Amino acid sequence: MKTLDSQNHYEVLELSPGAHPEEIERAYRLAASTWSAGSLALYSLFDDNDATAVRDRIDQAYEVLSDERMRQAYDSDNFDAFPEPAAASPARQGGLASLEEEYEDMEVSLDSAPGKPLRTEGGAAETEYDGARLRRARMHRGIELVAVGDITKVTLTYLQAIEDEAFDQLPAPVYVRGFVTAYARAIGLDPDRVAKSFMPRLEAARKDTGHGRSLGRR
Amino acid sequence: MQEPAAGEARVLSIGGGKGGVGKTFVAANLAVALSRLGKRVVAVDCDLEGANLHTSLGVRTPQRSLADFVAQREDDLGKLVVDTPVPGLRLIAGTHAHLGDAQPNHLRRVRLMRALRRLDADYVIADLGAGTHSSVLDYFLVGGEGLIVMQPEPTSVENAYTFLRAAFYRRMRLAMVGHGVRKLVTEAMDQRNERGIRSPVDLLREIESIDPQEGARFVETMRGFRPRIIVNGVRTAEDVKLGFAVGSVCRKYFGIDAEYLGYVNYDDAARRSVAARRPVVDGESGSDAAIYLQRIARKLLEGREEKGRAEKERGA
Repeated sequence: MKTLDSQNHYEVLELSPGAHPEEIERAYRLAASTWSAGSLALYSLFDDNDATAVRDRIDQAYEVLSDERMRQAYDSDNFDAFPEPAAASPARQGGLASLEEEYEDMEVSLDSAPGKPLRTEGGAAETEYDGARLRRARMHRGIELVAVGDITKVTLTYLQAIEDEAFDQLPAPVYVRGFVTAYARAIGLDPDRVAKSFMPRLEAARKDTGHGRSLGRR
Repeated sequence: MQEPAAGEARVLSIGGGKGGVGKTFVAANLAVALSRLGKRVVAVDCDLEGANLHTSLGVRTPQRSLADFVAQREDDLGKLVVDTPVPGLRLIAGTHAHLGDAQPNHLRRVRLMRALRRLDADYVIADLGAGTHSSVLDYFLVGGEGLIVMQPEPTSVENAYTFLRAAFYRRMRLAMVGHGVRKLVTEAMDQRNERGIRSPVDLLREIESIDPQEGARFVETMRGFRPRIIVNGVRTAEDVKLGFAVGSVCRKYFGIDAEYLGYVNYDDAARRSVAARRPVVDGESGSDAAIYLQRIARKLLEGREEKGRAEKERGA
């Protein structure tokens, strides 16, 4: 176990040497919020002074690794044989991305697993993105709904209604399709796939309840 | 710590220090989810002072319980197992304990831990009580696969760290051979110790300076101490990140790998399931909470091979 002082820049950010610049960004963002003043994860274990020391060390590491030139110089000073830089990134890099990917994989396997299905619902292909799944996908990516609102300029009420599948609170399909597409893009999902699975749900629900809205205005 | 020997059950202990964070809820649901995945599971209520795992699983107060083993009325743990409504899932309840003297003495505890591993099951899920009593810590350490349940609240985070510190130092002290070094670990447990040992990292440096061999043993034991984290009651994306943050803080403070196993959202379905005395993965399997819990169960199964692989990589 190395002390923080004796860790190299990659270890400080919990990265492997050769990490892709995007991974460095992501690791830094997570580390910066973990070690920020008032962070819940530090509560009772680290006081402000200790946390500041770690944060300084993290900033120092990031300063070097985020700058291509400085990083190259640092790497050649500290590593002899160096793994392919920024090659196809190893899947297990730790941090938010890998859990997210793992869960995404599991989400697929959850529906398609033969044998004992965990979920009892008839997992037809067209229902792969319902409101609940969109919300989960958003949460995995660590994006608050407000942030989706900022990016998409869609009002929060509509975004919430999409996640809740409160179809009667949504306007005409043509608008909803736009919202859903924008929502998907904002959180990094394939907009077409999402719209294709979400829109039939809206239409089916409206047919059932006879709530067919022909106009976008309320 | 040690991998279960061939034919032995894998013991997963679920603790976290604080009461009310959902330990029993998580234990009951993981037990059901694992049995639905085809595993033979025994859920054990080790919380003798506040037993209610049986209630969460929809079992009426059983007459036989772990208390019989503790009080030495029954020596065969297997005879205390009762059925639950879920196929493949059985239970050892924690009911009818002698409330004045609920915890087993040390020798009994050692026997209990051995008996847990030898239960006729693939998985033993041990639901622990709150607090950091030495018996709770021992149950947590028994299989080397302790899961820490916490909620995104300062009180819960604080207790989880207190619990982790207590479990960590207990484990380390047991692993040390030399008397002097053991004493040093005990000293370090007092946060205001005079040597200025403020964290396990400091402690290790101190040990290495007096006895390098014990230092190496310390590092080796530490590698085997790998608690995993579940965040329960998640409402926001920020809450989801707490598990990563805690994992990272543990690496920096303890120097240990504390994997983030997953999270469970704050869900009305969870509350309803408790009221209905039926695990949410059973009663409302389509709810978000159920889906998250099922994922954790799958990850527990899938994590096996990966762990070995990652270890090899890290050992380089």
